[in-house]
Parts: sequence; C-alpha cells; structure tokens
Amino acid sequence: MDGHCESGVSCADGQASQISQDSRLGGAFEAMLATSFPGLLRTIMLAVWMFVMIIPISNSLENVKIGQWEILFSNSVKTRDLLLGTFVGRIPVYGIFVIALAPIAVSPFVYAYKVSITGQLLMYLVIFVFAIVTIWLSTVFSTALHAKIGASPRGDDLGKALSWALVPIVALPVMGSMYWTSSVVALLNLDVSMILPSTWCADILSWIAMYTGSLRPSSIMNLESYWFAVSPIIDMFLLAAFSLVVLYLGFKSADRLFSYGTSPGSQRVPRAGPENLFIRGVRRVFGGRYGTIVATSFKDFTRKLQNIAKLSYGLFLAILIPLLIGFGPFAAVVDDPVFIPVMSTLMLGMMSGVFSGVIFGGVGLLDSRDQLWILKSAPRGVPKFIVARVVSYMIVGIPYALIPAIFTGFLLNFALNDTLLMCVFVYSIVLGGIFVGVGVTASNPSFEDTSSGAFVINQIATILIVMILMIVSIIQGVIVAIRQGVFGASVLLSSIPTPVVGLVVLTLGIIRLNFSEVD
Amino acid sequence: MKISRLRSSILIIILVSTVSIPAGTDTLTEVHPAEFSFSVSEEITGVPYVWQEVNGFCFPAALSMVLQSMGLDLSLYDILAASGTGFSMVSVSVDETMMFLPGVMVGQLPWFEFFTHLYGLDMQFYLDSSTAYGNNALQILGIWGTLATDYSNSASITPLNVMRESIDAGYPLAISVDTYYLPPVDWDIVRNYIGPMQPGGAGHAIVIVGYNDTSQTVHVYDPGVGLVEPYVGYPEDGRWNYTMSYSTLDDAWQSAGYVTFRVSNGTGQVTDFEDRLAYYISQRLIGNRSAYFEGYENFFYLGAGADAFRGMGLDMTLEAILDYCYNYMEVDKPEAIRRLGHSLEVMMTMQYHAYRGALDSLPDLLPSIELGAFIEESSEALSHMDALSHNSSITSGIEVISRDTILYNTFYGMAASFESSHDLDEAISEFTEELHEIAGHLFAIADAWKAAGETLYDELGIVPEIPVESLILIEAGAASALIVVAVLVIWRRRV
Repeated sequence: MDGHCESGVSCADGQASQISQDSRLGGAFEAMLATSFPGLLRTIMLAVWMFVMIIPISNSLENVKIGQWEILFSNSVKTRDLLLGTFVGRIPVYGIFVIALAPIAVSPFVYAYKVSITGQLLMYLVIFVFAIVTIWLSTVFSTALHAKIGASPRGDDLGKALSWALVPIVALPVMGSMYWTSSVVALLNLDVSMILPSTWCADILSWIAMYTGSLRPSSIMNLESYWFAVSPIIDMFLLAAFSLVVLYLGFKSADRLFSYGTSPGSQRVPRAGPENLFIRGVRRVFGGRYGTIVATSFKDFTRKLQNIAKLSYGLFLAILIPLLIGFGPFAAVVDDPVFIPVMSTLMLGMMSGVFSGVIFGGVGLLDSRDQLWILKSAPRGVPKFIVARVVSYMIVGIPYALIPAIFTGFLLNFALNDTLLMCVFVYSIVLGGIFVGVGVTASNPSFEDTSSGAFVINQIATILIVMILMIVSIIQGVIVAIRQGVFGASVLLSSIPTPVVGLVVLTLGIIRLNFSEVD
Repeated sequence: MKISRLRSSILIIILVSTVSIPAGTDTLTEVHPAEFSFSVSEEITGVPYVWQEVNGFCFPAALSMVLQSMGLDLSLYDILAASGTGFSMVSVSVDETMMFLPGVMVGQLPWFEFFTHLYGLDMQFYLDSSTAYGNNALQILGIWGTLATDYSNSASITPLNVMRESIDAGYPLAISVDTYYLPPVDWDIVRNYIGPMQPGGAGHAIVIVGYNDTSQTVHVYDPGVGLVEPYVGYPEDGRWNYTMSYSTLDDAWQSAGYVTFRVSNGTGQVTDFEDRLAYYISQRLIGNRSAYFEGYENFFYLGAGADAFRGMGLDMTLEAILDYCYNYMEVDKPEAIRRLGHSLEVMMTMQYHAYRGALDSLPDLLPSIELGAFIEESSEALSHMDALSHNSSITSGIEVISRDTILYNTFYGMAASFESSHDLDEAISEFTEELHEIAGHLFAIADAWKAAGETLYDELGIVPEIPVESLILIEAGAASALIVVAVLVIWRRRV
C-alpha cells in the first residue's frame, strides 16, 4: 500500500487533491512570485539606479549652460559650491521619485516575508542612503561632462546628442540583466550582477527582509545558498566603500575637473572642411541650384550631432525588436512561421514610424529663417525649399528604415520576398513620418530652438498623426490578412495610407507657409 | 491561511507525482500493429516476485520484476541506487507543512527518465485523461514536460489491448491501481477505513503477468502485501500472486486513471554508464537544486539532498514549530504536532532503508570507480538516520504504533504537554534539549551526505567546461572595454 493517509505517508497528496484548478493557478503564481523576489529586486534596483543616475545627467545635458557658470565663477563661487548646490537642488526632485518608488521594492517583501516594522524602516533607510549617493554620483558626472562639453564650440549640440545616447546605456544593462545573464552565471558560478552597486543594495534589502521577516531558518538557508554568493557584511562593506569613495572623489575632483573655476572659458572656432563624395554626388544628381539647396539641407540635418544621436537611438530601438522576438522572453513561446514575419514587420513599422516623428518632427525649419526669407522672394522658392528638405530627409530615411529591416530578415531567416516587403513597408511608414513632420512644421514654423514651445508642439503633433495613421493602415491590412490570408498584399495595403496622407499634410503645410509672412 | 495552504500544496504537487505515475517518454512511438491480433490467453512464466519491503517502494519493486523477467538482473535496491532515489531527499517547510519527502517520492518522472535512459530502455507511458485521476496526472506530467499516450484519444488503443499486446510480446506490464479494489486481505484496511482513491492520491503499482479472455481474468503479482499491521512480513503464503476479474481490474485501474507503463528492451546501457550515474548520485547527495527541481531552484521552501536535512535541523526551534502550528486552529494543534513527529520519522525510515540498501548495491553498479572513501563518508550518516527511524512508524495501520524513539517521544510529549497546559511556547520549550538532539542528528546526516557527494564527485575528476556562449560574452566584453578605453583616450586628447 503506497501512500494512503492512515499512516501519514502521503497526506500531502490528500491535501493536493482538495484544491481546485483555479486556486491552484493563483497559489502557484503567488508562490513563484515570492520565491523570485531577491532576483526581481536586483532588476528593479538596477533600473531605478540607472534611472536616478542617468536621467538627471541626460536632462542637464539638454541645456549646457556654461555661460551661467562663468558668471557664477566670476563672483568667487567655487566649483565645489556649484557641485554641492546642484546636488542639493536635485535631492527634492529625484528624492520624491525614489520615495514614490521605494514601496514598490519594499511592499512585496512585507507581504511575502512578513517583514517587521523595524525591518521595513531599515529597508527604507538603505534605499534612501543609496539614492542620495546615486544623486551625488549623477551630479558629479553631469557637472564634469558639462565642464568638458562646454569647452567645445559645439557644446550645446554635443550635450543634446549625449543626452540621447545615454538612454541606450540605461536600456542595455537592464535588458541584459533580465534576459541574458544565465550564461555569465554559468561561467562565474555567481551572478555577474554582483559587480553592480545596485545589486549590493538589492541584496542588503533582501537580507534585511529575510532576517526581520517570519521566514523559517531553512528558508533563509536556501535563499542564502541560491541567491547570495557573498555574505551581507561584504555587501554592506562594498556599498559603504562605494558611497565613501564616490563622496570623496566628487569633492576631490571638483577643482581638478572644472577648470572654469580658475580660468575664463576659451572659444574655439569651427572650420568647414571639404565636401565629401556623397554630398558632391547629391549635388550632381539634383543639379545646379536645386542640388545646392538639397545638399545644404542634408548638411543642415546631419551636421547636428543631436540629429545623428536621435537617428542612432531610433536604429538601436528598431534593432532590438528582432532581437527580442528571436531571443527574448517570447522566443520560446511564439515560434510561428507566419506570426513572426507579420509581427516583426508591424512592430518594426510602428517603432520606425513613431520614432521618425521624433527625429524629423519640428526640425524642418530650424535655423532656416534667413534662407527662407531669401527663398521667399524667388519664384516658387518656398515649395522648392521644403521639397529639398523632404528629399534630404528621404535620403537620411533610407538607411534608417532599411538597416533594421534587413537585419531583421537576416536574423530571423525570412524569405527574400518577406524581407523586401518589410523594407517597403518600413520605408513607406518612415516616408509618412517625414511628410507629416515637415508638413506640420511648415504649418507652424519653429525657427529657433529644439526646446521652444512650437518645436515641442510640432513634434508631439507629428507623432500623434503618424500613430493614428499607422493604426488605421494596419487595421485594414489586418482585415485583408484575415479575410484573404495573404501576407504580401496586406503589408502593401498597410503601407499606402501613411505616406499618402503625409503628402496631403505636406502640401497643406507648403501652401500655408507660402502665404505666411516670415517674421 | 487559505492561501498559505494552497502554496504548500502546490509545492508538493510540483515535487511529488504519485507513486504509480513513474515514467515519461520523449516521443510518442506507436507500439501497436495496425490491426490487433491477440492471443485468447497468455501467461509469462518465470517472472521473479519482488516484495517491496517498505511502504512507498512499490514502483521500484514492480519495475524490478519487469526488468528481471527481461533478463536485466536488477534488485529493488539496485534500482533505488541506479535511479539515485536511495541518495535523494527533499524537505518542504512552509506554512502548515513541515515534512521530508524521500527519494522515491520526489520528482518520479525525472528520476525514472534518467534511469530508463541510463539502461537504454524503451518506455511507453499511458493514461486516460477522461478519468478524474488521469486528468490530474496529465497536469502533473505537463509540469515536468513529459509526454504520454492518452487512451481517451484513441478507440483502438485501450488499456486491455495494451495489456494483451505487452504480454503477448513477452513483457509483464506494470500498472497503477487503487488498492481499494484489490482482493488481498491486506487492503481491507483501505476498504474499511479510507475508501476509494481521490484524484492526486498515490496509486499502487502491480504487475500483470497473464490474462485470459475466456475466463475474463488477469494474473497479477502484487509487491505491496505484508506491509501494514496486522499482516506485516514477507507474504510466505503466496497471497501476492492472485487473479482477478476484468471487472475488478477495471475498477481498480480506472480509479487510478488507467496509468500504465510498458517497458521493453531498447538500445541498451549507455557507454558512459558509470560516470553518468556517479555524477548524478553526487549531485543528489550534495543537494544540487537543479538536479532536483530544474526550473524551480529558487523555491526556497524546498531543501534538497544534504540541505534538506540541514534545513530541517535548523527548523527544530521554538520559532519554526510555533510558525508551523500557527497555521492550525487551537483544537487541531496537538494533532498537528503529533503528525509532524510521526511524519518525519516515517519519511526518515523510508529513506534510511533506501539509502542503506542503495549503498550496498552501489559497488556492483560502479565496479571501476574507487568507492572506498565514498562508502566511508556516506556510512557516517547511517547511525544518525537509524536514530531518527523506526520500522513501527511505517507499518502503522489506522492507529499509530507507539514506540520509544526520540522523534515520537518528543513530539507526542509536546502535544500532550500542550493539551494539559494550553501554552504552546512552554510545551515546545520544555523539549528544547530533545529538539537540539534531533537537530544534531540531522546536521550530522547533512555533513555526511555532503562529504560523500563531494568525495564521489572528486573521484570522477571532472574538469568544468566553459560554455561557448560565455566565451562569446568574454570576448564581446573585452572588445567593448577596449572600445570604451579607446574612445575615452581619443576624447581626452581632443577636448
């Protein structure tokens, strides 16, 4: 007789039989969630840490204000004071953010491990200290970057470019830590994220929760052996050492890094170099005067590092899509020969389309008041100017649309036809984004700055219009796909409305600009 | 409290598949001819009888009968050793659950897959998902990712046809049944006090050695008679060998979801048999969590191998036992405390028998590996396991047999003390010394298992390999670092 309850051998089976299917799922979810908290916390802390560190740097780089510093320095304000002042100023803003996020990290533990009040207070204290250190580190970095970038004649542009480039720096480790750490773990026999201060902090929080909660000693032992490669004392030591080193180096480097404190800022004059082969080619293709307008427009766009940074960022996000589809968390779940190409194409189109609004929206008339004033006096000058802008953006849009599409086709082993269709679809959506972006800007010109009200409104309007257009296009494509079951036709059909409506918006914009006064 | 009970139940479901759902198959191979043509009656002679000896060992015993009839000379304890179950233990400690699960009861599908692969046996596993029990079993199989042939999907593949086909081919058939319907007097206790099995309950494995369509009867060998009072002892009277009607068989089989495993000769033993088995056993002893419950390693309520004993030893404290009792109503607390002590002793006794027997069998299975140091280390655990075991614990019928053991005395004394004082803290604290002693035995077992596992692992001289993807990561990391350094240098020069 095996396992009947009278001898207590397998009462477990008896208990198991009493539970219904629904409650089983809920219970399993709860059990799995509770057992994954230490790992989840590492990911949450990494994301929060990177956010608290990078976003202030990114925001401050948007507006490099070296001139303001020079005024402060001329009034015998020390760089150290400037550093401290910026830091203190940031504490309330990012402090509120951390205070709002901290319960997200703490409350699951409180629920699962029944952490005592003392334990909860200790956890909040650790998060608070860690946040302060991170804000300090972020302040030191952003001030140092300011000082370095401010010395460059293109400091403002460089700052804006860097502010865009920093975002992938946040995204990459977070995604990496979520999906691709297992092989590194296998190599080192411990979690590679142990080198990150956010992991030390997360582990200290887990330790506090474990030891101040109501977990049984056996559970604590198993948690320790599974999750923690080093003891909490080492974690605490590492975090304390990290905090002290950061504080010390911040103060120490203040006077060395920021040369503005002791000497007046120098100015460098940028020099124009010879035109490259590509620009000369553009001139030749479009011929004479019109070629000059197109080439000027192309150079206008590409010389600005912030535009290149935005393009690179858009490419980065688009390239992530096939990587996530092929190797991400859904790779094992969905492996359908039709679903994958359709989903990849749609997602790539959506991403590229929306981001083309960010890249091309609002930029059409920046720094071009003088050119426009001159061209307005020429016959059909405004339409020519705007069309030249559009043509130059269309050239820029080719690699922006095709690189991720070809990469996706190659990575996910699509048939050549499917890859070509995807290229057509993505490029047509990007074209739509360009047309809408330039058209909207022509209707509501913003000549001055990327932080001006008109620029931001134009950018948001472009993104919204492109999104709505894509959703409408995709719906009809999906209907055709469901009714006819034809992938190619549905993709082609989905690719038509966005550029067509974009052309209408562009034409309206040109007409409006043509009749408006350049003030 | 309701949620917490669900949580521990789920953990146990994940860990334990019923005793008679033993096997998994990688592919659904069709073993049936296109047109069925069976004998009217067939009997396989010369099948040796294997008594399971201990409650819970029915499946290895049934398997031993099947394999020996196929010419594979593996005793019950050989199978416990070769499947690693003799060297496995799991603890579950959460909410109202605080228990050991001996090797034979833990993840039976994975260990059986390992065993059949080791010996290169062909396995075909069947159940009927249209029955309540079969449906439940199918979900457990889903958790382990194991495939099964579902009788309910076929009109021609029926339990009786599979039985006829297997026996006609010369292979005795092991099946899972509900003991409630089995004829031997040993099962009266189930008929009189327990009732038919519920879905999720533990079935009983028996072996069908013959059938007769004319008389509508089957001939079975039952490894499980003679286990429970008042019939304890080897069934010399031969009551293990009996026939029953198709109708009775159907009642017993259906109640257990028509669970069937057909085993036959396959490709034969793997070439690196000894290395593979020795490595597997070393990991089971040490308590490699992936070796026990891959995909569920982070379930910290579960202890594996040496850590199962160490964890339970750590839980022999006032706070942990209070936490266990907290999940029961006041009136149920004494029974919960008694059940804790009794259950720990039952499971420890089962594992003690399995471990001791498997240790004896191992030198024959691993002749070319030097096992002297391993046997010495692992034998250190025996006296401590013995101190926490007693045969009366596993032969108890409806009434638990009283015995003079530390686990029984401690927990039954604790319950009695609580019943008289109604002060749980005091009742547990009164037995602090005994709890320390129990913990001491558990720690000693943990140390011995860990040392034995490590010794066996060292004996294999395995050099860990660096995975290819890790090499790629190293190269990519180094390249990234170089690029970052180069960019910094250039930037510093230019700015």
